[in-house]
Amino acid sequence: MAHHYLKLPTVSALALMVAGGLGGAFAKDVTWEDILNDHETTEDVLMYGMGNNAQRFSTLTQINAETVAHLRPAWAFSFGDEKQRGQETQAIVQDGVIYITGSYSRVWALDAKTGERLWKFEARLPDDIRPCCDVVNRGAAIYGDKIFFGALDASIYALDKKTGKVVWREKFADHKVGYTMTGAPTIVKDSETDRVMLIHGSSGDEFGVVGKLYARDVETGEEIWMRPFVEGHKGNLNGEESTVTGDASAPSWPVNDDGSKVEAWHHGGGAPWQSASFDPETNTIIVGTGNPAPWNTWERSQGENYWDYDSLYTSGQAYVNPTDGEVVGFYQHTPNDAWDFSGNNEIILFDYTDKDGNTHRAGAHADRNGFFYVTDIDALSERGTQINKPTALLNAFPFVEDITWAEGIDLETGRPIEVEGQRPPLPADGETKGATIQVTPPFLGGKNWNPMAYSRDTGLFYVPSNDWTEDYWTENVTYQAGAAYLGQGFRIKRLFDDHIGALRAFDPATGEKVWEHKEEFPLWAGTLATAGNLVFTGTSDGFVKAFNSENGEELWKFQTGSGIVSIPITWEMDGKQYLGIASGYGGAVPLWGGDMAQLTTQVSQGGSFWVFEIPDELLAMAQ
Amino acid sequence: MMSAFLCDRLANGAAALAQYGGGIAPVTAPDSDPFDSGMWELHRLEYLGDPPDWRADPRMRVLTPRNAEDASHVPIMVDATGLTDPVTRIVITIDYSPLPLALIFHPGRALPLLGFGVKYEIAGPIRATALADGVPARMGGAFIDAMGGGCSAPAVAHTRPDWQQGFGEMRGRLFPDSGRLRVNIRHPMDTGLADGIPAHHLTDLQLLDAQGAPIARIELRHPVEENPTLTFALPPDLALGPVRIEARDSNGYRFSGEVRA
Repeated sequence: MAHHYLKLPTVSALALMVAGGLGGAFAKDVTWEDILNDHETTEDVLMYGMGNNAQRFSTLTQINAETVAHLRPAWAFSFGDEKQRGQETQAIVQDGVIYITGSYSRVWALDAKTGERLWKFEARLPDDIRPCCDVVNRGAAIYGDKIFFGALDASIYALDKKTGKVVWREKFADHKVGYTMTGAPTIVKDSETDRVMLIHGSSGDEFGVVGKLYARDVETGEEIWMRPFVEGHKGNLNGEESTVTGDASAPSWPVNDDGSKVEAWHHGGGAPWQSASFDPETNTIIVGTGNPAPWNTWERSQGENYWDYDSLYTSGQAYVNPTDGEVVGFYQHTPNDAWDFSGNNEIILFDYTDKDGNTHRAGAHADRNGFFYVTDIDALSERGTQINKPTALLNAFPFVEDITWAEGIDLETGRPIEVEGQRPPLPADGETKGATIQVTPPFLGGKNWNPMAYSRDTGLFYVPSNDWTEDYWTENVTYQAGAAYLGQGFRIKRLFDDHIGALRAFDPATGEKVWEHKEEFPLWAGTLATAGNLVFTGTSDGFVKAFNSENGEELWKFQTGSGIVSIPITWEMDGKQYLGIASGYGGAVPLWGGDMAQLTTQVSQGGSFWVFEIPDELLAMAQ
Repeated sequence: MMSAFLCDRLANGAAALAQYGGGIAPVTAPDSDPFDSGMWELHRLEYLGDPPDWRADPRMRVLTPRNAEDASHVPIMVDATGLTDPVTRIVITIDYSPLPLALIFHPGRALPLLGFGVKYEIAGPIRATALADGVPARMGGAFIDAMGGGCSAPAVAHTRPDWQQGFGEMRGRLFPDSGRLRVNIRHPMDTGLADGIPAHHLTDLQLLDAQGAPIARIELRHPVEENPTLTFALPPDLALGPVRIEARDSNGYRFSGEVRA
């Protein structure tokens, strides 16, 4: 039979070329060894945190304190759509492909060399999702031939990394009552069972959810275990109910007159909405737990007695056995948290040498409550001991100015030395609101979700912090499914005329602030440290900036056109070092920042991914 | 005209069908396109695997309305039971749709007959092509006049605050005397062409017998109507039921149901 139509050889040739190109670019699967070595390897970025230790440190040096002045954009990619807000993501780089998530539960695969879009996936979201703090997504995980990410309707997806097609989707909770997912999942391998697992949590403490951590089979999405972080609630293991978290009678939560648990216990919060670290040496997942619900401290106290009711296991760092999902250790930053400080911020694993020269395997954590904690991860991972280990503390010091709620952290007891009158008082009889008090830091925190970095070269932590304060008052509260469950009102205010954001370098042993760089706007972007003697971050007024990691001198900046609230990464490809960061303003500050509106309304929305390099000719010149 | 499922069940049989005329492609030379459309060549290449031999075959019946009164629900009936040579799959393409591939039907142990609905973006032919190894591709079709907009308008589900309400619910009925199986699934079948609404459509639907063995399978794509209704014809043994229906969509949602006679 005659093919009497016009042959279009260019079309078919092009199709073949593209197919061939895809086959090459996506060919390599990700192994557990790749993930375990992520913090050492420079040609890929496989984990949120750039490694299971979450250090966000790269040994690359081509872009360094001398050459960074020549850094130029290589390409930029627009996320498109009309969904230009809140790009809080960290990209993944593997085998020449960048995988990046965006607001409204979107994912793209991009050619790392050219920025060309390879595929896009967009979850179809219901209209009644309830993210408290913008429609953000903080990143994906990668393992085998799949990409994993959480969606705002409290579901988690596995996509084929070659095509972006859904392999599996698991809805893990009801989005209508406030469960959602914004954090990046992480990959661990349980050394007991040799099973590779996807670890993720949820958000929703502001709606009175019970915070839960999940482990899933990477191939099928099937739940391996689920662990709630409210004491006395029951977990799951292999599809059946497992043990209660902590003491079944939940003594850290008060009771009603009839002996039953108070309403707050049923909706106690503690959601692990940021990403877990993993300590392969002790086979332990380490993750921050969210604030207790409601915020109102008196709902979680027995009368006026808050000091005996710590609201376990909220606002602290939890150590979980991947084999069965049991909590093996816990350190609480803010016992009976009255201020929505939460304990979610990342825990960076590092080798710590204290003032006396003793070395420890330690966790570093800069809390919303304004204090920097160095914890003993060996003590906290120890099996068969009391879960709550307040004395597993190695050091603690303030990292923001003028903290009012506590004088400090008692290094002997591990508990904060609270200042009287800093818990917002109950409304007087006949009143609907309690007296207003001023608290520093505010609930948005001395540092929020945006991760700090640790340089293995300088031994310093680079903390994207904010100096601000707030007015706080209590309100009456009753739980109503799907409604905010706070019992507290607030107004965030300025503390200083010249700045809110402050990028600070700290020595973890002495607590010494080695340097600081002030920013007019709140800092809401993560950080990256490199062996090139550099620290990178982004600013809410749109700049990506590089600093000398030893002295804080600002060495380079570039305006990306919208505010930056994402996390920078760096990698190497064909002998060249690249820097990548998403731009697109949003997050909690423009929504809840009170007086910050004067600043945040000046920022344009956006959604793009920028990649920088030192052009060959400039590199040759610089060298 | 030879005997076929539809003719057998219509009063007055083939004559009535001929009189209606709706949709059935005019018979022309077997290897020329009765619709004389520029897309057919390309779609053969892209969606039919470039078959070496093809013909316009009047035994491939594609019954449609002449006009798409409702561009988002255009009912189509494809009947390949009049074909005497084998049918492995039937590919439905719409010439001038922005997303031309509507579905691929693998009849398996069901009769090669399928009723469904599509969205129509612009007036033009819809085609059903029966494929099997070793025999020519057999194409039937119909021209449907349309005002347009069926693919780029948002699904009706979006007028509600929560499209997930009732999402994935199935209704079905099995008629043992005729072997007819009708299945309806609530699904927005978003094409991704409406502003701000990502593509979200069923991708696979399978019929299984009481032992869990596959009966028939459909690969569904964007142009299929919102809340699609699918009509199958089952042979007498399978028409006794029960029949299990399993489906999956582009967002990884899974649906299942069972229908008894």
